[in-house]
This record gives sequence, structure tokens and C-alpha cells, in this order.
Amino acid sequence: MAASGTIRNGRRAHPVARAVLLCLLPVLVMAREPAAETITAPESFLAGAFDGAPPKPKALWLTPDVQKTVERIMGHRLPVLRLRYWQKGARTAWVLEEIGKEQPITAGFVVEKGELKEVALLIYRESRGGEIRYPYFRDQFVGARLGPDLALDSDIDGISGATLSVHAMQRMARLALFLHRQVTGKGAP
Amino acid sequence: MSTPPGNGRNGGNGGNGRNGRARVFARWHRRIGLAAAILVLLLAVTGILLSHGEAFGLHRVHVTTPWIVRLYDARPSVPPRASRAGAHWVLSIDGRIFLDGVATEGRLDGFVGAVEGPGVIAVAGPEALLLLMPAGALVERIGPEGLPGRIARIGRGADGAIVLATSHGSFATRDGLDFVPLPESSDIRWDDPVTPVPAAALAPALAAFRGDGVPLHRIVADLHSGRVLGAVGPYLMDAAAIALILLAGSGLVLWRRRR
Repeated sequence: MAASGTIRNGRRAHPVARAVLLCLLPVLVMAREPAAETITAPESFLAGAFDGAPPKPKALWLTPDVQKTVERIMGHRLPVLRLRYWQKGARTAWVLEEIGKEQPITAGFVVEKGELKEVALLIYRESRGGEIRYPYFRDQFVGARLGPDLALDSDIDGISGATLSVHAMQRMARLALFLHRQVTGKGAP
Repeated sequence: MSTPPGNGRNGGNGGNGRNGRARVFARWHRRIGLAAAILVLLLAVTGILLSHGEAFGLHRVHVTTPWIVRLYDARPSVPPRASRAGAHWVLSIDGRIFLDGVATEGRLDGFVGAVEGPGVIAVAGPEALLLLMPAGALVERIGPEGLPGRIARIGRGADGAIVLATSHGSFATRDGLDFVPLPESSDIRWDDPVTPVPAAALAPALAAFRGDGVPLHRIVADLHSGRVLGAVGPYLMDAAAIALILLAGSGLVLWRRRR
């Protein structure tokens, strides 16, 4: 391919071809494929959630009633029959996935006594919106509880340009709180 | 697109002084306009169609034209892989998992193999293990947080347990929750994916992979975003947008010079 305006075999590239190259140049410079980025390894998240000694996982089977509420929270049913979780005393940990814009976001949630204790971004695959990894965003969830309408009882400030990722994190946080209720015997809302 | 006197055809350097620069601007204004014209037309037409997609019924129309279907999902980007799990055929086509020719909710990056376990079909990728009911429902997708290590092989123990050979040794599980280390001398039948995939197993899975055709809305949206050309397409549309920015700039300069 002849670069813009260069001479090859004594002939200049066609002017329109040169114009196309001129327009493509900045795009090619900026172009990069989004790749899955592990922010926090899931194993590290679990170790941190339980002082370095995570318990053996348990399974919560998603009955039709549970799936009905999951659908109210997430806007869709989960495509699995069961979800695993880790529990020690009143503390549970969940590793959940939800689509942000096009790719699934993997996040970890620690819940204790119906309250979010920690929110971690584990794997991020979208090309933009990764600002949700930063503590200033994640820390907003700490202390949040599930209201009677299945919404969080505290406001979460959005991030310009990361709206869909923020919404996905909010949905997963609500789901983690709901699932915690299920396994700790607090019953459905 | 405006053209100044002299039409910008004289000389490679565009002459001297202000007139020369004006000719250069006019020439590049025209070239960029020509280069961007087709893409801008495409953007405009598909943009109007998408804005009124509901009224045009774009979601309701499915295109089954063979070459368009092939352009989308019909042609796997990598050769399908398959394993025999008991009486079942498990196929991996571009990361999607098919059980006996029926699409499941399971997806894997890479395919290690599949075995029939106690009441479930276990399908392994390097970093995830899928548990499927024999009818195809996805029980669970076990990611790295639930696995004893990166999976190299999957097999079946003498007692019917699912066995994984991982980066941290071999482990057996009956429920996917508890993984028990196994001694190396254990009697294990390792799965060896079948290549090439027998036509009788491949045909129904490929038919399911192709589905009912491609929604017209998706085609128009992909034309609009450039995704119809694959990963390069969106960058091509970005180039059209940059061309418009350059046109606006060069047009303003030409207008100012004419005044």
C-alpha cells in the first residue's frame, strides 16, 4: 500500500485514495481491540472477603419464584439453574456477571446482615466505561441495602460515558442483596 | 464543496502565495468529499431507516438469503470441535455449546472436551466448566473462582465422577462444588475430542447455529455502524466522520478566502 503522497514505481497514488488514507490515518493510530481485563482475580477477591480462607462454595438453586424476582431486578432471567456462593456466618460472597453494553462484566459482592460490605470489579471486557473499577465509584455501594421495592436504599452517582456499566453494577448489587436474603433465610421481599 | 477559480489543477505545489494555498485546500476539499461521499450516503440512508425502524418493521423481517446468513453466523470462524459424552454429542461452534444438535446457554472460550458425569454433562474449556442437564439446560458455568486450576483435560473416573487435569494436579468432582485431589495412578478415561466431527452430529448443530435467519434491523444497524465489514468496519465509519470534520474545516477556510 502506498503511503499518503508517496511515489511507488514512479506513479503517485490516486488523489482520492490519498484522501481516504488521510482520513484513515488517525483512526488506524487510535484503533485497538478491547480485551478482557482482569482487574481483581476472582480467587483474590474471595480470599480477601474471608480473611484469606474462603469457605467451600454452596449452591443456590434458582426456583421459578426466585427467577421471577431475578427478572424484576435484572430485566431478564439468569440462564442457569443454580448460582454458587460462599458463606461464613452472616457473610456471603457472590461472583456475578451482567452485560454492560455488549460484553459481560464480572463483579464480586460481599454482603453481611443484608448490607453490602464490598464491591469489586473482577473482569471488564467492554471497550469503554472501565471507570467503574475505581474506589470512588465502588465505595458508593458500601452500606447499601435492598429497599422494599428491590431498589438500593442509597443513591449511586453515575459516570459520564459509563452509564450502561454503572447500571449493570447497580443491577448486580441489587441481585447480590436479594440472593443473600434467600440464603440467609430472610425470605423474599 | 466549493471550487475556487483555477480549479486547483495547476501544479503539484498549488502555485505561490495565497492563491496557491487556496488551490491546495480546494483540491483536498474535493478529494476528501469524494472519498467520504459513499460512506456518508450510507450513514444517512441507514440512519433514517433505523430512526423509523419500528414503522418499517425491521425487527419483524428475517433475511434468510444464504450469502447474508453465511456472512453472519452461518460460517464458523474456527472448525467446530466435538466430544462424545455417553450417549450425547457435545459440539463447540465458535464458543457456543450444542448438545445433540440443540443450542444451549453454555459458552466457552476454547474447548477441552466433555464427559457424562453423575446426572449431568460436563463440558470443559481451559478456564471454565459447564454443567448441563441431559436435556440441555445449563446448570452452572463454573469460572476460575470455582475451579482448582486451569483445565488441560477432562475425563471420567471409574466411579463415574468428573475428573479434571489442571495446572495444580487432577481433581474429581461429583457435584461441581467439591473438588477432591486424585492420585496420579487413578483409573481415568480421558476424553479426546473427535476430529473431524461426524456429519451426522455436525449438521443439526450447524442448522441450530444458523438459526432462523438474520433480523433486517441487525443488518441495517451493522451497515450503519460498519460492523458488517467485521472489526474494521467501525473504524471505516470513524474515517467517514473524520472526513466530514476535515470537510467542514476546509470548507470554512475556502469560504473565508473567497470573501
